[in-house]
Amino acid sequence: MRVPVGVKVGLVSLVVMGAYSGYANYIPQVQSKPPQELSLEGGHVTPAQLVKAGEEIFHTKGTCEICHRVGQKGTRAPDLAGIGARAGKTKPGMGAKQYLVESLLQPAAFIVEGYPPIMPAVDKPPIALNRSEVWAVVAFLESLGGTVDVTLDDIPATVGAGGGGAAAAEVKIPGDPKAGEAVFMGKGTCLACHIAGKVGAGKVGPDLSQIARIQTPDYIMAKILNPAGRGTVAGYPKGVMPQTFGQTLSAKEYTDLVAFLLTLK
Amino acid sequence: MSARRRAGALLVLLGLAVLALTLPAAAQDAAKEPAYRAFPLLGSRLAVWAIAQLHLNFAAFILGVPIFAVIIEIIGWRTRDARYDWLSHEFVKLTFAAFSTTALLGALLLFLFAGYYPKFWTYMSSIFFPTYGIYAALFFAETFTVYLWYYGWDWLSGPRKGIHVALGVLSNLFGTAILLVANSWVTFMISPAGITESGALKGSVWAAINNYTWMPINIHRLIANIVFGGTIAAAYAAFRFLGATSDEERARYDWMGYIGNFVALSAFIVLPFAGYYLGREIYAFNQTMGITMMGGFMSWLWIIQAILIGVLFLGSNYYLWLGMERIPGSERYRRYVPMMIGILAFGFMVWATPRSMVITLDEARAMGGTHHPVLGFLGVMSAKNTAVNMMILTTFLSFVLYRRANRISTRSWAGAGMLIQWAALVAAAVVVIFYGVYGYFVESLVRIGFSVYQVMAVLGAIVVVMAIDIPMFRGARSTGAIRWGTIAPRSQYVLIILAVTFTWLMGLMGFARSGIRQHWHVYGVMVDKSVDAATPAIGYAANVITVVTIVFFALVMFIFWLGGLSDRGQAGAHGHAPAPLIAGGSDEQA
Amino acid sequence: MNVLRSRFTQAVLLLVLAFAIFKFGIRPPAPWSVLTLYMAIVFLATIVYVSSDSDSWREFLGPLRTTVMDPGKRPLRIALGIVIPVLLGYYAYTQAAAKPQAPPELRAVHPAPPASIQFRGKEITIAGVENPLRKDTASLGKHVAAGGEIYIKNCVYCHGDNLDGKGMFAYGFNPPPANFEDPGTIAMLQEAFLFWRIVKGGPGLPKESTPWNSVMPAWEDRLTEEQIWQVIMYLYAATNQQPRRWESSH
Repeated sequence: MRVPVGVKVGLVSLVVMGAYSGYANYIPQVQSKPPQELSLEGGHVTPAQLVKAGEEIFHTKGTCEICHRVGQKGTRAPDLAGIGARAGKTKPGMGAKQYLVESLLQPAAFIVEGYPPIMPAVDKPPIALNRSEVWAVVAFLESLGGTVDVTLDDIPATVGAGGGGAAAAEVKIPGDPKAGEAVFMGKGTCLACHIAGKVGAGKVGPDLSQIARIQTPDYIMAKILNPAGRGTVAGYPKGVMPQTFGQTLSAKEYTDLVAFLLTLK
Repeated sequence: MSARRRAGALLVLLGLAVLALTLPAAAQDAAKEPAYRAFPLLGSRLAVWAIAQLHLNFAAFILGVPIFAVIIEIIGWRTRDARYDWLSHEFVKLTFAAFSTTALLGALLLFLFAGYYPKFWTYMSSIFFPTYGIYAALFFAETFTVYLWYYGWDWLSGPRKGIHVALGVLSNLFGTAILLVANSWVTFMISPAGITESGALKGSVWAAINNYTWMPINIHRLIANIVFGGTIAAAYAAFRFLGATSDEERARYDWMGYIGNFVALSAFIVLPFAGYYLGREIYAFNQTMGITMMGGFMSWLWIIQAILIGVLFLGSNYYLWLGMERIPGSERYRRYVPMMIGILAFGFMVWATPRSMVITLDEARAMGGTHHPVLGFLGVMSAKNTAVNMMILTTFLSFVLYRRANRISTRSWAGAGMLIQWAALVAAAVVVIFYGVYGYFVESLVRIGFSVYQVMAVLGAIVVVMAIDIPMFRGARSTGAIRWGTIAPRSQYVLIILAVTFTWLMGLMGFARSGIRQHWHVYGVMVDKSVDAATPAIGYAANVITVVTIVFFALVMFIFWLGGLSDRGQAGAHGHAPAPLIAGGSDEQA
Repeated sequence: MNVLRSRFTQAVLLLVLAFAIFKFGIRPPAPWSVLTLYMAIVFLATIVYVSSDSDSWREFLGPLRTTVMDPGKRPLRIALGIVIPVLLGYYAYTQAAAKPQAPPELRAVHPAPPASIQFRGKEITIAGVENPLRKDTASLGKHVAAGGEIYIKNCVYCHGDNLDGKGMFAYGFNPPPANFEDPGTIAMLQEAFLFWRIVKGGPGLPKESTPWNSVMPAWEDRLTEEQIWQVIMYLYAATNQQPRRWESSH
């Protein structure tokens, strides 16, 4: 019996490839999963999962911890320990979850006594949480002393639609950050009170090292020109910041300074 | 090749070009389209993966084979040896048969991208649109030059042979240019450049083309294509050899297989250096990507790669040793074989030693940690570079011995020359091992520089040995002609295994190239949000590669079979290049 | 025919010898997965060796051929016909039988670090970062001394007073804690890599390093940024090793 050449060659090839494939399957398998972008819509999520996801966002993407702490007074914002229990009683006529949702999406609508209106809306850049993520954060906050009863329907459907994630509208300030740094240290004398990353040492005013991560350009621009009008960050002396930058700085110096502050991430 | 098939190939090309030019218009509507569509049954990723791998296999073949076909044609032209001219024609015939399949698969790939990854495709078009036209134009130029080259074989023979060779060179230049254009798209996905943070093109498209990995991939692919073309041609010859019915036919295909393997081997020896350059550029582009590739998620892929390359080294040497049996006088060199096997096997083991080992907890306990205190030394770059350089030297030695198997130098200085050659080889080995060992005593940054010295030592030894060898054996006394066709049949299976292994290796490296992007379409710019965003484990990848490789070889067999049919139908009528007699022919070697 | 000079015997002896060397010559014992890989390579090389010329190949096949074909070898054939299936069956049994042991895992020893990490809400870049304390050349000794104190207060229990991973608790852990004396650990890594590992500990390991295999705590809540950099300086100073530098990208 003679086996045709094609069959023999085919068998040899199959054995060789089978050996390679077999060895590759013999070693333990590791898959590389993409990082989770939280999307809970439509799925069945238990409150526990939701709270866990919210806590993760609180620590990471939400950048909440730059100002807020749980169990200790934050540098700029209220302690959130027990917020779940407190939230329902804070603003008259508003339930816990409605209040929390409002605080996240329209922070200026109700300001806790003693704190300035500095919080940015979390569904807008630079934080830009999507609808699911806001939902999870609310659930996490409710879990701090309250019961988790928030559902996706409590979060307005418009949340995050206005350009979240990578599509964030980039604001271009036509200033020169390098020159702005010089203004910060020189003519503006900002460094007397503020720290900005590597420069400055003053503890009179809040640390600005990460200001661009937590504040919008509008806020920064308005705050320089009208410090009192934007309130004073909690824990710092009121009315200390000069009201006169609008007169002392030239337009170029002002835009340079803002450009510099926007590099502080 | 019938006229109908030719027309078919042209039609496909035309379709491809039209498609490439009209797509952006379609892409503008794509804004309203979904970002992904699902390919039925298989899923979009698997479909694109399979077709891309097949297309690349064929493309590598039709780009690689003509490169050495033209080299062989030049050899035949200069030496007036009809065998080479016949062989070159034979190779171009093989290329020709694969041409339309390549174009067809390319068009299919395009459909898949545009249809199932519309958003990705729109983005790529927004960057690379100017290059599409160039690509299409080059494809036309390439096709027509190859047509002229193939069909003008008889017409441009004799005194006009020079023009014919120039056509061959020209078609290769076009082919290489096509490769460069296509590489720019692929490398942009790995290491995007020339774009703003939001991904829009900043200046000219040239900055996007000339990204970190473009040049290294160009070089790496070009060399690998030659190797690939050579192994496939050798496997074809092996197949014909095994099925041959006459001694004359056996002799002819034995010789063809030898030449194919020789070309593959010569290019293969420099391939590790090109790969090293590519790796360095990936690190330079992004450290995290480099570490993910070499030490993280993909680290085991390199162990499998080491096994495949070890098989290639061992197989090529084995083929040379078996080939020496058909050369009278080669018995003198048999005694070196055990030593060479020893070095190759040891080098193979070192190279395949994993850095992250598969261990049970008990074994980890016994080893005192998750990495082995002794074998751990073999898992790092210092040991692996040393191993691969030693394997290259050994392979080169095999080749040198093969070359002189039936020749005895008549030069008076042959003894001294031989001594210098050995000294050069030993010196290179000493340098390689010295820097390999010394590498453990210096910090990493210095160690990386050592690999350059190792490479220089090996290349230097190769140059010195060949510079002495060529004059030393000019006009040498022969101990007998090569008995083509008497090689043991198992050597032909080795050629086939080499081709299969190399094809599989190409698939694996394709997975590596694509996998290091992980969950990105374009690294750092465009996230993969499809259902297939996860990068699969190595076992799954290996299964896909195996299946695609089987399909590839089935298609190649079918195409070759078709080519054989037309030959048989027109036997004698064609009038071209009667296969020259090879058995007991000249004892000249390539 | 002399048994010892037969190719077949030589090949078998070669394999046995290689196995003995790999099994008993490598101390501590090599993992089974590596052993099988080496043996496969030696087997391949042996086959190449015996078949690299036709005489040798014929000689090698001789005993096999006679065993299968020779009428006189019938008892041997029957014996092999029983022994080989039994051995295969035994192998299948050992593979299928449940063992009181976790299956082997693929563990990346040094996984790719993230480009940056969150340290107490602050973003710290990892890629390309040098130890900031090294710039302060005047007080290097002070930082190393402070690092030593931190090490003794926190790390010594597991990583040992000789920094060899043999602290008093080490024997409770499998795999054992990292041995910094080993040139394959910290000497191969940038300081920023160590910073990441200390800050995020076992829980922060990526998937390919199977997080549940390390009990290293995440120190970010217990040590400050400066303290971590100090202890890293101590690790290198005490083991007399140099950290890996970052490659300058061009």
